Amino acid sequence: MRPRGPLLCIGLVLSSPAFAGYEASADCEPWPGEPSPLATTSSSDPLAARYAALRAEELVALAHELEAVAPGDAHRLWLHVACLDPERDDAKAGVERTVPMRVHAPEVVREPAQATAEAPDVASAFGQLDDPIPVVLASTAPKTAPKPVTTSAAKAALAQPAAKAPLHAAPNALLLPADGLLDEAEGLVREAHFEEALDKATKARETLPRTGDQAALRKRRTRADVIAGTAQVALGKDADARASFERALQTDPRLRLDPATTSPKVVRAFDAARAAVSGGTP
Amino acid sequence: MRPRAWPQTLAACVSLGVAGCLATSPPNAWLEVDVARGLSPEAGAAAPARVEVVLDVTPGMAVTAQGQRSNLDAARAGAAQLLRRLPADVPATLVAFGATGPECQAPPLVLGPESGRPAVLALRAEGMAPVAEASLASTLDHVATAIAADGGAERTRVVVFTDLATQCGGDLCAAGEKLLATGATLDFVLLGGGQIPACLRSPALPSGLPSSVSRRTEVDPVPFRLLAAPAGPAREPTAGVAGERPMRVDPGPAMVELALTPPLELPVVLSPGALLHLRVIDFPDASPPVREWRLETTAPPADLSQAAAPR
Repeated sequence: MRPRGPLLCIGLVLSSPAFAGYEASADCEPWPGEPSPLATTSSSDPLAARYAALRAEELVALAHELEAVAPGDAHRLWLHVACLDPERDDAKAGVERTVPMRVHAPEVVREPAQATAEAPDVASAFGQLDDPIPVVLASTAPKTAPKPVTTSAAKAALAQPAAKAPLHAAPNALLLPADGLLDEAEGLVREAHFEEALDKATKARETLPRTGDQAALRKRRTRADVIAGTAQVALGKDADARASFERALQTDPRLRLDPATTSPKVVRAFDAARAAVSGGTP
Repeated sequence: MRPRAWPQTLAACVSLGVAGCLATSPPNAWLEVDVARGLSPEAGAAAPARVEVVLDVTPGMAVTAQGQRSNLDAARAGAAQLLRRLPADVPATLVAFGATGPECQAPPLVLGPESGRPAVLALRAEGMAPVAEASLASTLDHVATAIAADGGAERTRVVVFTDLATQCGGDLCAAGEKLLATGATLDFVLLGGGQIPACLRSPALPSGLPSSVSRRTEVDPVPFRLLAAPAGPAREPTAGVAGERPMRVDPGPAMVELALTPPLELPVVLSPGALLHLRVIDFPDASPPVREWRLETTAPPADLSQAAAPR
């Protein structure tokens, strides 16, 4: 992609015409319950002017309250405040701050992702949409569609449904319950139900018999551990995730995850486990 | 008051003669009441904000020159970054289009809403892979329909990570305006130098009373009663409604009682042949609460047919 230069927020550009358009349309109709015609603070009638000032004040308080949770409503409130009290400077600023549609073109930078701090509210989180997006490039990043993963176990655990490879090349009645559980666990990972996915993967591993086709058993153990590790990463159980990935790598030392279809965070946890298993520095 | 005044009136008529009696009958007075109210107090806790992250994972997003970042890389990272920044208690939904087939026909893949754990969707966003081309316009239309059906649209923020180069058509402007018409907000995060269509640079925005105000607006008219003044002559209670046409009443001192919370009782003097206009502003949720009024005496309505009947 073409990296962008300085941060650019077209939303600010868009917001001014929106405000100007509003003024041009003079849509200062009274809302239900308000006197008609709509009173303004410049009215020669003292009671009408007083009403307009009080009404503007309460709508401003509500607009501030709504900006974080319902900016679309806050936008309409600010527009109405501008009708009630055209002299208020904060009304125009409020209209611009809450314009319901914004366009952002953040810079994309080649940096490791820093730990992202939780914002105090949704508005603050959205206020950072123009922040640079850090993208970590994997050396094997795909050019177009996802590439096949190195092992079928990893692919089965993490790929999208359409790309999922069957794992039942050597059907075995004793393996069917585990396969069912693993399929369910994969589905749960795809639906972001990680607690349940972890539970199913653990049960699947426990269901596997100790004797039988060892190659088939190894595949399923690997698959269960990769699913469990993925869910554990999602749940923030980093030590458990590393243990699961290490188990998977001890079962299949050639195991690799496809960075095209796997979350970078999972890949990093997996690579750390691989480095530990192979004696390198995690 | 008329019924009790009849004996005296009759006696006067007898002594003065009927013609004299008619000639000296006092004219009516008129009363008009208007009330403008501020917001009523909020009932119950406000619902939390919701976030819908729309992620373009169509194959076109994955195209890149050797060694460079694709728009898909940036979209996935940007969506994950936003999801991780959301407060944990915010219900978040991940809507990915292009993640399933068939081409240009598959509905978007919708994950969530995840209440309490938006960060778990960040991992799913990072793992999204392109499968088939899909329409951004159809996806936004789908999201708008779902938001409208769920209610609480005014508290929903939709953000789209895309390069705007989707290949399956659809009317993006209509879909965008449909989404904005629900009351939700829309943020586009454009990747790879995509340009927003001109029609979306100044979209039609919803206007009028927002639902957050509507919930706190009393639209029922305020009833009032005209009663005898404590130290005044007797008077049959008369009922009226604020905001209606002027009402014909007997002249003299009286008490107007408006059914506000708390009730407002005002002593008034109704002059014969004149209109007394009582205007009240009431802001019960102001701090401190504000209630002010103004009494104005003007000429009665020119067209007597415009008068409201006393109740």
